[in-house]
Amino acid sequence: MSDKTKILIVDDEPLIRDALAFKLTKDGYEVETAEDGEKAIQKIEAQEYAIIISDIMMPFISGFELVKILKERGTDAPVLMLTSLNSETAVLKAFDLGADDFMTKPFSPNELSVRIKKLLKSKK
Amino acid sequence: MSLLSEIYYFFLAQETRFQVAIVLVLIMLVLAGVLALIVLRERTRKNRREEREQNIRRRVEPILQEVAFSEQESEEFKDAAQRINKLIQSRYHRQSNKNILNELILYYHRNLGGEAAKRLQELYRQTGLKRTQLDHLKNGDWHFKAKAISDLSNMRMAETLYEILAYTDDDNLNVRNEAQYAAVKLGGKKALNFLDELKSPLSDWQQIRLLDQSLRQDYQLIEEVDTWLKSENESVVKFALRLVRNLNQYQEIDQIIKLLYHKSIGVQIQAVKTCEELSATKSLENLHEIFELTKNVKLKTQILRALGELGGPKEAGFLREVIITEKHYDISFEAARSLKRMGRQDMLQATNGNLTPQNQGIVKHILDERI
Amino acid sequence: MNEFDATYSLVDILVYIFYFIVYGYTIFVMTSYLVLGIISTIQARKYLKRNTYTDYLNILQSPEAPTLSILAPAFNEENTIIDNVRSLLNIHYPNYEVVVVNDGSKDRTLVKLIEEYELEAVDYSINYNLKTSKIKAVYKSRNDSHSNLVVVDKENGGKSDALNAALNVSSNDYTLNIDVDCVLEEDILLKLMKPFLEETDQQMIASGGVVRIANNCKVEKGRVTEVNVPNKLISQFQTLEYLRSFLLARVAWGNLDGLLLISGAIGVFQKEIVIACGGYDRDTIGEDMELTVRMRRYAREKNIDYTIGFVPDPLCWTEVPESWSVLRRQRNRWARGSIETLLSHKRLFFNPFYGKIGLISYPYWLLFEWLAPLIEFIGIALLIIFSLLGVVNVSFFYLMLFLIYGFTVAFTIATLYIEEITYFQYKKRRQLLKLLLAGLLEPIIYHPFMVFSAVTGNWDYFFEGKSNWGQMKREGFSKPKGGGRKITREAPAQPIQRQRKLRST
Repeated sequence: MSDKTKILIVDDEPLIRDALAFKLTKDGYEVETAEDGEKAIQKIEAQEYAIIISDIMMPFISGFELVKILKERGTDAPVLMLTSLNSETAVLKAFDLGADDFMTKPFSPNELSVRIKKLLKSKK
Repeated sequence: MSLLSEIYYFFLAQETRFQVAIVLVLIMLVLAGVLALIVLRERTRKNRREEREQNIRRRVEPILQEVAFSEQESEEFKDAAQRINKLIQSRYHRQSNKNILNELILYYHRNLGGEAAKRLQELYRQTGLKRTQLDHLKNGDWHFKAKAISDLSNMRMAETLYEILAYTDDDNLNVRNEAQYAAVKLGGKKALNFLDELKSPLSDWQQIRLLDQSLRQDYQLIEEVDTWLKSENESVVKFALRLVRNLNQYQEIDQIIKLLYHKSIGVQIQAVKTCEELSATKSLENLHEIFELTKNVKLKTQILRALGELGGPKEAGFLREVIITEKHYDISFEAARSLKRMGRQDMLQATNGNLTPQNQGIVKHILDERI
Repeated sequence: MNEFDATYSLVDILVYIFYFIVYGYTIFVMTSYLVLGIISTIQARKYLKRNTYTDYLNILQSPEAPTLSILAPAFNEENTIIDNVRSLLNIHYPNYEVVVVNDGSKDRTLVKLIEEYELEAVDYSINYNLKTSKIKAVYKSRNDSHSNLVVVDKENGGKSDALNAALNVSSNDYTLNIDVDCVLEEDILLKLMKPFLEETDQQMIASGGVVRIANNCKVEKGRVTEVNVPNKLISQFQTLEYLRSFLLARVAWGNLDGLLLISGAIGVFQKEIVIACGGYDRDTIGEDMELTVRMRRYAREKNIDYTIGFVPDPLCWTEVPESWSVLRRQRNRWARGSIETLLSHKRLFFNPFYGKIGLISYPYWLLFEWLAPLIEFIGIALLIIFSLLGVVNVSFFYLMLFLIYGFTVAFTIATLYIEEITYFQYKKRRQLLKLLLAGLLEPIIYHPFMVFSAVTGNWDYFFEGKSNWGQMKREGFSKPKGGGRKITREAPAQPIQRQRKLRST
């Protein structure tokens, strides 16, 4: 077990997963990825993550449902939604379901880093 | 040889209609064979292209990530651009490889913002893709032009704005639409000036896109919107209304109240929506008036919505009246919903005694918090 | 002798008329196919060229995107309902609701929905614009992430009735009406709504889409992850048939604004017009075509300057029957549906008031969808009789048949070519070869079977009294352009009566 902070990225588009993983690894985190909500839940059950970054529009279990399930289970890792949906309803719904932060694509990777740091700090 | 000539003489000996039919059959068979071969060849070509694409992706992606997420100066990209260009070099597939690279960079750029996006843009220039697109813009077919305009604006190649502006009046509708959109994307609100003179209708699709771009820019006062609100072109008026309410152009409220009386129902509905979104309480009297004047259900429901959003106790009383007296389902429904939106569940509950069964159902529905 | 002469000349005249009809008809059919093929190829290429730079993200992110309801009637779907609804809930669109109607299923469809989606009955008020069987309850999910799901439980009334109920419940201006067992692409709404948004001169009242065949495709979690050519010959034939019908005929007709049928498997409608013209006809066999025709009539009669669109992307996947007897019943029913709709709207026939629809689409449909199999059937029967009598030159007819065969094969391959340069869903070379092979066999095996099924459809309609609307009521969910899965478990409200009828066919 390394003592690096663990991050889970959930997105159905491989390019985004890879890019995010690259960036966050570079920032010094330990990154794992999942391609949909179902796989994400399996991973989260197996081990703990410090933070979860999730897309919304994914097959089978959407990002909305994922947040809802995680929050109901009492997972304390904050969830950051990263999505190309940027309607007001989407934002409201995400926070309503328990998301901790919301960013829309195109996103600035640097802004993402800062937000992750802040979420991690507020968790402590 | 003799077999062939025998067949030939047999053919000559036939009646004309037989000859025609035989020739046609042969043509069909040859055609079918040739087409079948083309289909299969096309398939092979596509499969090869896909392989090539995978290959390029695998090798270019790390470089792209490096460029997008590093803190290096643009000078250092030259190396990255060269490495990429070397990867896509090919004697036969140069153009196709370039397209693959183009899509890959666009894809990254579509998802990334901030510094990372800027670096990708620089890379786009340095790999020569920008030049290729400008080439397409000048010499390509309409769809090459449209695609080039779209790509250049997506990649924020602001320096190409001047070239793109030349196409905002193009004869081809697709090129024109793309150029108008790109101009707004690169040049901001100034590029909307073409609306002043626009005679042809602006489709909802184009309105949505232009609006989408306008929304991405920082808040500013758009003085020209006044001209558009007074345009003869209905679609321009509708677009102006959408712009006003999504970009909070409060200075136009008086003009919008005038538009409440516009001859087109579509414009009226947009105007009502705009009054609602801009919280134009001074339009309340007019809204009441139009509600009485119009028979159009859509307009009526839109007004009820606005009344619920803007109104006070007087409007609450009015909505209550509507629920009690109105027979049309959609109108009663909207009245009840508006009343709830005002937070007057108490009034909804109180109506219960004197309602038609239909409207009782509506009130129940509205009061059900689970829906 | 005199007598013989008279007979001979009469036969002679008959034979000449026969020749004339056969040649004329053959040439006419071939040219019209060619014309349709050319139009649709040009259209498809243009559409694809536009798609190279179209960004659907604009509409996905827009606060001004029109709201929409997906209407999905379900009858005895307990095996698939959960996945299918989930895929409906995961469609990419900013603001839409999903209305699932449980049409009195006899299995655990509703129970499964309630369990999976945490449903509870609510005080939902319904706008009874259209008459339907009794609605027992309306459910919403307790789970906020499914806040856009509405489930309606009603007494059985057939697909039309269920769709009408869904229309009553729907709260949006546009509806996507589907078969619940269709697998939809995630961007279906973005792509189908675009033509509505692009139209400036006319009011678009409906838009159809392409139905593709899902047999042997890999479907995971309610979406197609790998496209394959079906394994069985019978479904390969249908693959070719669907490609021709959707990729060529409908794209072309869509472009001419002459579509008479928006498949029940996938279509977007302007709700206002559907309701104004009375919704789905509950007593007809081919309710999807009937509605399309009625909407056109209504719009024209009310002087609405309207149009109906068509989107050529592959957006909807469905399973087709893999048994010849089920297929025969399906085609028999389609034939009856066509006849019924054509007869009940015969006003349109060559009626200039209805423009292109009256002058071109309706007669074309009459000739090709209804009469063509009959003409073929009678033609071949006559040919056999004539050749037995020795009055026609048989060898020439063989040549003609061969020519028609050559044309059909060439045309089928041309369709494959168009598919290959446009949507190329079939990625593997071997699979294309399979389809090419099926194309060689199709005119010999599949086509005669289709003719036969259509002729029995005509027979049943006119002579077995299956034209009676009342009797045909409640066909359950047997759906044209739908899947075999449905048809095999077709269980109508009055099963016994229905079974008897089936056996008599």
